[in-house]
Amino acid sequence: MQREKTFGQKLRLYLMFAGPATFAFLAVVIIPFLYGAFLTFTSWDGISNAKPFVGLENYIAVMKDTDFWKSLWLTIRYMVISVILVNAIAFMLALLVTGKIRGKNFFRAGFFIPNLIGGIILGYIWQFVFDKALVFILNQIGIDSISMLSTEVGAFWALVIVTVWQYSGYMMLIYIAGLTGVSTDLLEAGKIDGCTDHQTTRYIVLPLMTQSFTICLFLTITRCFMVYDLNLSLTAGGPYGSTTLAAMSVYEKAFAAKQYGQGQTEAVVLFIITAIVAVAQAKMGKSKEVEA
Amino acid sequence: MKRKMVSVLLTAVMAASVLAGCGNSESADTAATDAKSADSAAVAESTSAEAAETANTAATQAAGGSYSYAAGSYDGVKITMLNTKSEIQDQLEAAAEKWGELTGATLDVYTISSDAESPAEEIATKYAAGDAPTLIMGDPQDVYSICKEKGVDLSDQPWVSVGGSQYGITNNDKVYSFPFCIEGRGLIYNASAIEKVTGTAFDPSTIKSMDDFTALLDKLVAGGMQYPISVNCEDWSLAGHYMTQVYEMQNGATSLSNDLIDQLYAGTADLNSNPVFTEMFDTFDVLKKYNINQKDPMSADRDESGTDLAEGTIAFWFDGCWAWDTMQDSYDNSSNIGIMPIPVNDTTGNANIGSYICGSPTKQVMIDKEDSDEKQQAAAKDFLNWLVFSQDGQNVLVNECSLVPAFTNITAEATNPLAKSVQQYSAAGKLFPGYINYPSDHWQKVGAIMQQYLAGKIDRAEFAKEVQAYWSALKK
Repeated sequence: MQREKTFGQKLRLYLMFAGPATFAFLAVVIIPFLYGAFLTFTSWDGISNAKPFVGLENYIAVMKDTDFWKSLWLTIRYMVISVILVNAIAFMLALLVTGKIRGKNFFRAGFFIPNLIGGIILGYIWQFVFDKALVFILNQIGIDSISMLSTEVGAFWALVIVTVWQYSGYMMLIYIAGLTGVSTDLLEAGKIDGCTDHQTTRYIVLPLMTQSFTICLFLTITRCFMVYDLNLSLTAGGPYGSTTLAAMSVYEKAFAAKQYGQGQTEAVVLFIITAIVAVAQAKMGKSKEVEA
Repeated sequence: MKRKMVSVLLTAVMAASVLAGCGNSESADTAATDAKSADSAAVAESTSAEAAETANTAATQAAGGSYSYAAGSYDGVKITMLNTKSEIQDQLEAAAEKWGELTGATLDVYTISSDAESPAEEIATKYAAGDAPTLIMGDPQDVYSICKEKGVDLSDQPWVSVGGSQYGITNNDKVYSFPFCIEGRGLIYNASAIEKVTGTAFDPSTIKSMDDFTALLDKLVAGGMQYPISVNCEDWSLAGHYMTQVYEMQNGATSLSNDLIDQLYAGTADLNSNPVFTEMFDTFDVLKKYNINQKDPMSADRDESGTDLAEGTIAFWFDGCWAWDTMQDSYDNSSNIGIMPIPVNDTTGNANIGSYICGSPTKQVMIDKEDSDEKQQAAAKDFLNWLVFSQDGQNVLVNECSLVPAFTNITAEATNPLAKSVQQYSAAGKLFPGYINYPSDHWQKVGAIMQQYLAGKIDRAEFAKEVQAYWSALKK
């Protein structure tokens, strides 16, 4: 007979299984977050010992900071374009490498490899490609061109291209898992009922792997919102500060302009916006999920 | 105001207690300072015969100075140093090892990539982490803004009397930093390359105005050097070095005047009608016109520019003596390379404009007192003394790192043509100082605006307006 557990027993069980994780989560996420929230009410310069309390002044300053809103708007455009391209390409690649082609594993590994290179190194490699290699090749074949990174539009698309190149392989992996997770019974049943390949994909596979889409969209949206390393090493916000994405804007405010309080406030605003978008997307995705 | 006073007092008391603590420890530098004139005491302090020898040679080296370096004993003391001159990282690491063998301490030198981060960001990050390096090399404004709260008072150090008080950062008559080197910026020229094209000898002092300069450039173009100039696209070079001269030359390039900066803060300045701004940017337009990167000014590459100048592909490049790092591999020892003032058509009537270059101690080393204990602070002081007063240390500064030292007791001649050039201006008293209290994101924000001007996206009136907007939006 199972007896009802007392609170003490429950607590002990909880601490035994989830204690270490809870501790780590508190120490590296919750406490810094609360401390950060506290800093938004100060005019701390990031280095001095004094943290003067200023109330809501930072929030008012953020509302008026056009540079920040400009970079946030840029980040949203960057995010939307990148998310669409990354997921579209990743899904195509996944279809490709789960289909009937030779050397599937080779292609899977190949597409995934860019994701193994860290953002900073990736940025420097592509900077060379855009600044030197591409210009050289174009000039050799007789097209007079300048570096993509020297123009505002070019630098923005350079960011998008590298992001797509970096994340497509990773998302492809998740889509492959989704595609191969669909039970063959259902596919066979569909075939017996006379489905074409296209219909199988559209009406059986896609609905059953909505979960993969939810995950991939969530990952790409949050990563694009928070991107910093690639931004720093590829364009460093240039030319003329036109590709300063939100995270970089926050960093510059906090450390370069030495207005840590206001920088922290911008970080909180960025967090709230990201959270709203990501949670809304996850909710919408969940409601579309079906089970066989 | 009252609270400020209290904090000043507190800081003073803290600084005093730290110093008192130092006095009690067995640190050699305090002992050596006490025994300023007694060479024998300094030798007695040394722990090994080798150290004694070094101290002796240093004593004879330090002509005029009454201090001689004696290595202290800091067995097991570990200190770190933030080096923000990444081009001398290897040399400093070697120096740290040498000094470590002498004193038993371990000095770990690390550096940051200057493209990605500013020293201010790195320092703030380290303090936020509670892990500040003991020796902090920063730009003057970084050190100035934190020295009172975080820095050890270095007024009692022996190097203060040989240049430290003149070039170090002082606050309330206390010296807080060690001037690591004197650096000059200006137009770097390759005289040999110019002579090869024009056929006549080139003397930079004959270029007295922008008109002289343009005439020479036209001659170079006619002689086959299609683009004689390279202009950097880096924000720190544009706004941190070129634009800043507009503020610094307001008073005829000799003494600093804050009038323009005060007006900019207040939002009352009219940059575009300021004579120094106008003449500096007339010249900047000339630089743009003959720029080798003019097709795509934003893709200029400093390493390429340095190579081009050393090899004589171009004749002029606006940068500073630190640019030697980009040229040394392609420099063949035969070309006559140096730094000259930016030639302008002066309307302010000041004779100094056009013969002075901007030169000042651009890197300052302070000792942290917040995250470093007394032993570490004493060891850090020992290292700085070693650099100034021991032969090995001087060798590191002058020969290994090719710097122009800020100390009068170091008489060795600089080793590369650019540093030599700066040394000559310094000896002739023709250096004007940089301003140290710019807003810390000035180079970044104004740099972005100036990049637009360089790329021809905005005209000069718009540029002036945006710079004014940047300043007036600041909270003073």
